Amino acid sequence: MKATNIAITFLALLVVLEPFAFYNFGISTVYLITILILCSVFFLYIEIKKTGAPKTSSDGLSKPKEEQKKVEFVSLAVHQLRAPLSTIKMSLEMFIGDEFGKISDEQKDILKKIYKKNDTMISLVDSLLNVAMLEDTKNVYGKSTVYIEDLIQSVINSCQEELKGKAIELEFKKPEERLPGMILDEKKMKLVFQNLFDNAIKYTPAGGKIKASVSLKGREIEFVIHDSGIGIPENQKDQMFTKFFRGRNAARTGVDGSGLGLFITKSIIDAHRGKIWFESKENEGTTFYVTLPLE
Amino acid sequence: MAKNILIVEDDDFFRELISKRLSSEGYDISEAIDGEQGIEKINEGGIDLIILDILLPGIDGFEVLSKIKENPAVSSTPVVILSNLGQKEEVEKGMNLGATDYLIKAQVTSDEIVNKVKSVLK
Repeated sequence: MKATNIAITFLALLVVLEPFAFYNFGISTVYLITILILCSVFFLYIEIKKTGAPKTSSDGLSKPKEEQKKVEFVSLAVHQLRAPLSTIKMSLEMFIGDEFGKISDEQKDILKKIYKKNDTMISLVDSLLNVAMLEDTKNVYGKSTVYIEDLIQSVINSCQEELKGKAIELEFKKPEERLPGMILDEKKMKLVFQNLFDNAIKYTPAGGKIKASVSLKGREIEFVIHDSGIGIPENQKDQMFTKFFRGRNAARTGVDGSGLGLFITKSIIDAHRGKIWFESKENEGTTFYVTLPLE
Repeated sequence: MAKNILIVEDDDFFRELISKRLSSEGYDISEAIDGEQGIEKINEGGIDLIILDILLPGIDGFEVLSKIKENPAVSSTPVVILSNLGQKEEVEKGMNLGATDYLIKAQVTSDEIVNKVKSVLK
């Protein structure tokens, strides 16, 4: 954790204690900060791998106590990382809001970019928590009865700002008859839909269209989400669910991503004995399909 | 007379930011760097609202909150939790202990904190 703390302290010092540096703020500084941020996440990840990964017993059954310990460790580590990030976020926001005196548009522009990177870092830290919790745990915890239309609707509601910002039209079709309740891990399943909607919005150009639907297919629930986005290049299709993988065209759009979203999504769906696959054509759009068994 | 807000927060810089922002809105600010000092200052009286962090050295924010609610002299003082902990269980725990609201640091802006304070003190 030492390395993480040093990196973050340095970052905070750089951003906060040297306001004069902003006069010569070049893009290279933004890169330096990003690199520092990524280094600290990397160190944390190594730390979690070393310390927090108990072996599962040979019969594949989880050991609740060990799992509990691991989750506690990871959430503590995540908190340690998130705390300085929240402070940096708050200070940048106030900087941009002229709380510490008027700053020029050019300075504001750079600060906004740092602010965005910092937000990326916050969600990256959250993703790491999710990955670490999933990795040795192919089991599902916290099962409860979930009405999937409601779950999807709540995710859509939370995306409104992004949709408006990019003027993307979203259509969500649900069956006339209410779908039966399903026994799921609600928190994790919410993450699945959150990731799928986030991706659709992120990789669809402004003014595009997203169509989502959920329906009953025999003893399964099928969820489909189609976007008019950048699509997935043919030669990269088989790597889509790999940890830390990002499509080359996705990286080129300048959209930030951790390469963890779909990995997490698939792990959760696997744990629920469901399936996920996609069809895509570059520059035309992507359709993701998810099926989940009713029982 | 200006309302007095107590900020219980162990992160010096974060405390400074919130304090600066709220005093520019015309509030008087008291600060505590841990739970124990927080309780002392609350018991001294004259506090109109408490902004409380959860992860603190020594006594944590949940315990500070319970202690406030146990003391009839100060139990009606509104407490707004401002923490990095954002799990459903943690939010529920804070609200069940009698917090007026629960804000998650990485998800709020300083304006939202100011608005929250204003609406609670109305």
